[in-house]
Amino acid sequence: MTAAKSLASRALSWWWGIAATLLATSLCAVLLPTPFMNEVMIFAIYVSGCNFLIGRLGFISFGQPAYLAIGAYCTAFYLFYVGTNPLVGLGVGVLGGLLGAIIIGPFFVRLRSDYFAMVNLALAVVLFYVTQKLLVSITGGDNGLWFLTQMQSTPLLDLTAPAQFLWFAIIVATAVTVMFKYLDGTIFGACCLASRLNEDKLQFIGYDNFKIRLVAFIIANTVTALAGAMYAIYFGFVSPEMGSPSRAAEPVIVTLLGGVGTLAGPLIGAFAYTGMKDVISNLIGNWELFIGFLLVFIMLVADQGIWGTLPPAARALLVHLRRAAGRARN
Amino acid sequence: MSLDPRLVMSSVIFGLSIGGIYFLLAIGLSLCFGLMRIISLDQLLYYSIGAFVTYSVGVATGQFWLGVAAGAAAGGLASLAVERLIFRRIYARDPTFSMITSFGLLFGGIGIIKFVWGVVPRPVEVPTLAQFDVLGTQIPVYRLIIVGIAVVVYALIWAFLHRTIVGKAIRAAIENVEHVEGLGINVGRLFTLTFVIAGALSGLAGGVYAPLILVDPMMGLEMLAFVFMVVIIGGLGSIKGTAISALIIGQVVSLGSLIYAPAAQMAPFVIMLAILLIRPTGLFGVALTRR
Amino acid sequence: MIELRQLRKRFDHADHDAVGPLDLRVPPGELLALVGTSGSGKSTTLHMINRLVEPSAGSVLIDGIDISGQDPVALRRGIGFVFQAIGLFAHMSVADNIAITPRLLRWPRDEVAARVDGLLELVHLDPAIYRARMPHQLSGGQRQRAAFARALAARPRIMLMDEPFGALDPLTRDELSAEFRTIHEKLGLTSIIVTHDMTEAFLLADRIAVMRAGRLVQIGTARALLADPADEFVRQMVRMPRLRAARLARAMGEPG
Repeated sequence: MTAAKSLASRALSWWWGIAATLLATSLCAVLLPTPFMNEVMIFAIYVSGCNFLIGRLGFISFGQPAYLAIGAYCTAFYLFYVGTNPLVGLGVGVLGGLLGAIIIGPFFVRLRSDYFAMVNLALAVVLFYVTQKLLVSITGGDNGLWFLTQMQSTPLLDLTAPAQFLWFAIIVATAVTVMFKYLDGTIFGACCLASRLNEDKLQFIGYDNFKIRLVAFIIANTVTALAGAMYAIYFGFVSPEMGSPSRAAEPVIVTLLGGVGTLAGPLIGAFAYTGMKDVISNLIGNWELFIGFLLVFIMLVADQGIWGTLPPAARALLVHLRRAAGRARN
Repeated sequence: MSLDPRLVMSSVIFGLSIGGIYFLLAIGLSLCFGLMRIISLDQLLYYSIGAFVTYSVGVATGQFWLGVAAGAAAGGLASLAVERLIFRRIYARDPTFSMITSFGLLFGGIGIIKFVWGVVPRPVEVPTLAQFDVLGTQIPVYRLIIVGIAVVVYALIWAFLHRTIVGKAIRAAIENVEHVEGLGINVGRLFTLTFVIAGALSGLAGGVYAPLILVDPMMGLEMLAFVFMVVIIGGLGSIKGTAISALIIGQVVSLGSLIYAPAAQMAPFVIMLAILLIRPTGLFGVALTRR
Repeated sequence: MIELRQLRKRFDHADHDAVGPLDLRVPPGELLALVGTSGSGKSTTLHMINRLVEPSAGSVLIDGIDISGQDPVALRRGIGFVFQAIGLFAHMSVADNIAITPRLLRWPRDEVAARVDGLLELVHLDPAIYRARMPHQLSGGQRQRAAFARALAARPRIMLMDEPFGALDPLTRDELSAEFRTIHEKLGLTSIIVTHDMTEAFLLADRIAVMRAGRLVQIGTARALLADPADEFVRQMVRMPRLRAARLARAMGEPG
């Protein structure tokens, strides 16, 4: 009875956090320009996959553009060659990402974390070549695939209308966040963390490290592919540029910016990064210079990220508020 | 499909020269990992710096080789500054940590290069257009010079690590850094020296490769995946492994283009996957001792 | 003289101190044995004396000077350190192993050669035979002798040894520990030896410091520890050699 009650109050307290975030996001969606918000929301989904890999497995991947591209191109292939329904396209993209992760995963998750980071980057570069040069007859090479006007409107939320797409993106981002939050509370989530901290011990108590990592890898990169599929639908266009290895560090940077392993990290990081990119590109035009040294700076002083370095007092207050809210609801 | 033997011959030489460049770049990455346990992507920044300095000095003085020397020196100096200011503070942390930091450095450095030299690709003139006759095939002498430089560098690095006391100390520290520290040897100085050697070799690679490509700010990123694959296939921390794998990848890329050009870029990746499947630490990878 | 004052070490992510607070004084010329079970923090303590591990709190003084203000490299040069796993560098000859620090310090070549020969003689390895040998061509005992010689190369006045005889067979072990005692006296060293073997500590050391769970339980001569153990743990530790001797005697069929 008490166990059930504490479970309920725990559920309520984190539901409360998500509801608050959702509210704030919705407010932004009304107040801020729609294109900006759309990019932020998709970007947040993209980053949450990377955040899961780093925060829960301790695996840093510089190959996220590869999984993004897989999702985007699968969706694009469907919408360009086969059908017109963007929702089906989204499903195809996610399925493609899932399949890709299942094929690639077993090779990669056996590797030591440093090799893992490098091999993923190599994968991103190779996929970039594939889309740009190797399969030109299918991918259209640098010209990409354009299908914006081929998509049909969808009922309820029309994905072909940016303003309505935004609400769809917010719903998807919330669902993804809830899923990751849910995973944290399961045995699987605990095993992920344990495998990050001490893999020998985990093996010792009878959990298979390989399987845990593989499943986590598949989940993370299917989410990444989902983000790719959403980019494809939102822009109605894909090109090799989307999976360019020169953007390989973006999800890692944003994960660090938002705070590794924190639930709201990807969203906050995506906000900060997209906002900065817009402002800085307009002001000085030399984005690489800024983002590169920002990254070095983060690594040297504040490796907890924006969220993680919030003054402890503020965080304690938040925790207190959430608890109070949780109690009030019981 | 029949292949013209003369084409194959020139392809092999082409592969050797490009393998030489891979080697010059990968050896620094590999040594830095073996000794300091860092993944130093910023080596590719020193590569770009080397190429740009070679271009600028070449334009100013008309002396290509002077430019290459200046490029190598610039690579060494830049790496010295980075080691002192940044890497020193992160040696104790996880290798992936250094990878993120060095990616930031690479990016920030590209920004600086754009600021100084602009984004327009620059051509560098080949110092000698002479051709060399090998079994009826005309081979550009300059390609052979690159191969020669790579071989000389390999020999020098080998002699340094096996014949000098400082080199022996570096190998000892790769074996077990704590034992070397405990003897009252200044390990920090060995780290700096290794990092600067790596930076200078990267600068040298950029300089000698400049005439065969267009020098542009993104050239480091284009090289990144290949250098990675060379290091991974050879095994982090192994000099012999790096050399062998650079040789293999060079040939795969150049002979591969004879058969089906677009696939040549893919082949090294497939080879890398296959090798990792058999040996997760590469051909000659060192077992990682935790610190 | 080595002095530890309220020395403490807590490793990252640990919830308790691995060592300390620890107070200890080793007067000049003493050979102190640091004894304790595995995980008692004795090895960590040793590593803090030459700053291979940085303390979390407290200080280490050598000849009255706090080492935290000293250059760690210079500090370590004045301290010979013998590692648990011997740690000769596999790709270097015995002479190179011994000479590495002097050569990096650019001592004159003939001085280095003379030093190597002198040290090899000191540890009873014939220079003519062993100079050029590689570590894998040596027996365990010979390797440990070479490791001693290497630790002494830069003329340290302090020797720290982390279970130096742990990997050796009992015969070689006794022989080497007796020889080390002679070297210690001959060179006027101040030494700390970490061991979990109380018999070895009894035979070798001037005083014995017993550690448990990072703290010093008791320190004194073998006689003092036997006569008045501070607690049950020390009593059991110091009784071990006698109990074993008695059991041995019984096993040999002699009256206990």
